[in-house]
Amino acid sequence: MENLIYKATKSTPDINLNAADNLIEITGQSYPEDSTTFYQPIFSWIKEYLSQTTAKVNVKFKLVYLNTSSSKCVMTILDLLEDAHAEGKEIVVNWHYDSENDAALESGEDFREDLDLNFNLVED
Amino acid sequence: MKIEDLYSFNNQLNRDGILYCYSGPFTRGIVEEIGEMMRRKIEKETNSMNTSMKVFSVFVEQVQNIMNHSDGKIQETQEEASYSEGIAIIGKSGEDYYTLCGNLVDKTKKEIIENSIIEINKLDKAEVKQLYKQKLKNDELKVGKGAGIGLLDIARKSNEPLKYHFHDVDDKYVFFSLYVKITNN
Repeated sequence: MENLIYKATKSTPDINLNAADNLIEITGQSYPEDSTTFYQPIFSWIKEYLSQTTAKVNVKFKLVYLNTSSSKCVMTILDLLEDAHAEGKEIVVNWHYDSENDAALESGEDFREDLDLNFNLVED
Repeated sequence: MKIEDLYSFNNQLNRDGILYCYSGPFTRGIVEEIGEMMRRKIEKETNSMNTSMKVFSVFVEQVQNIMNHSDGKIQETQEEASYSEGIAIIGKSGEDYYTLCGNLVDKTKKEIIENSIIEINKLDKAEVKQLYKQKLKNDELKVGKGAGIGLLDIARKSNEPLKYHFHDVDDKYVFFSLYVKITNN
């Protein structure tokens, strides 16, 4: 399966989706006004990847800032991961945040709540 | 505006503690540039990433509400994309910051907007957080629009009730203004 890589812009994050390394990485800032259109190819890639993989999946989020529509998209990604986990796939999610950025920690805590996934908050 | 009036206009901006004021069509580039510049400035002034991130995020949500919902549009030709128009202000009030944004809204939407603000203002901090999380997890994702939780997120970042105002413009439109205070901490 081909990798999906986007370079960051001011309002969209670095996307590194790598099937060979079993890595899903989203790093940077995310505040496009139409997040759904930006994240659609990412949803598709993750869905297809999760349907094929048998390996342990490492997911890294490091988002300095995300607007509400991006939060909604991250939630959608976590839902896909949760479904895969329910089917028996091994998934580890690490949510990285800067110690001085309370909002990034709070977002991580919001996502972690009620989520049936191995989800860790990692202070950088 | 007359040339000799610019000085007093500029003085008024200074008197009201206005750091940035933009009026016109909003584009992605304008949001990014004003947002990043203001965030750096406030972080330097306050030495607090938390305060600067809060002001930045309220600004982004307010302006993206204008971009997604404003009924004031500029479209030169049929083939051209339309841009939403509005006004956005970021200012300082004592040690704290505020954002004040406004745009034209179709009269028929006034009640919906007003009711959602009234409902949010009835909630305490914990209830706002709870409702935000509930909507984040359960509401459906819509293409081309925001998440519908922008106002809740704005309320989470402010320590005061949301202040709003509607000004009658004509038979079809009202001008909607929203003031959000962000405490420096």
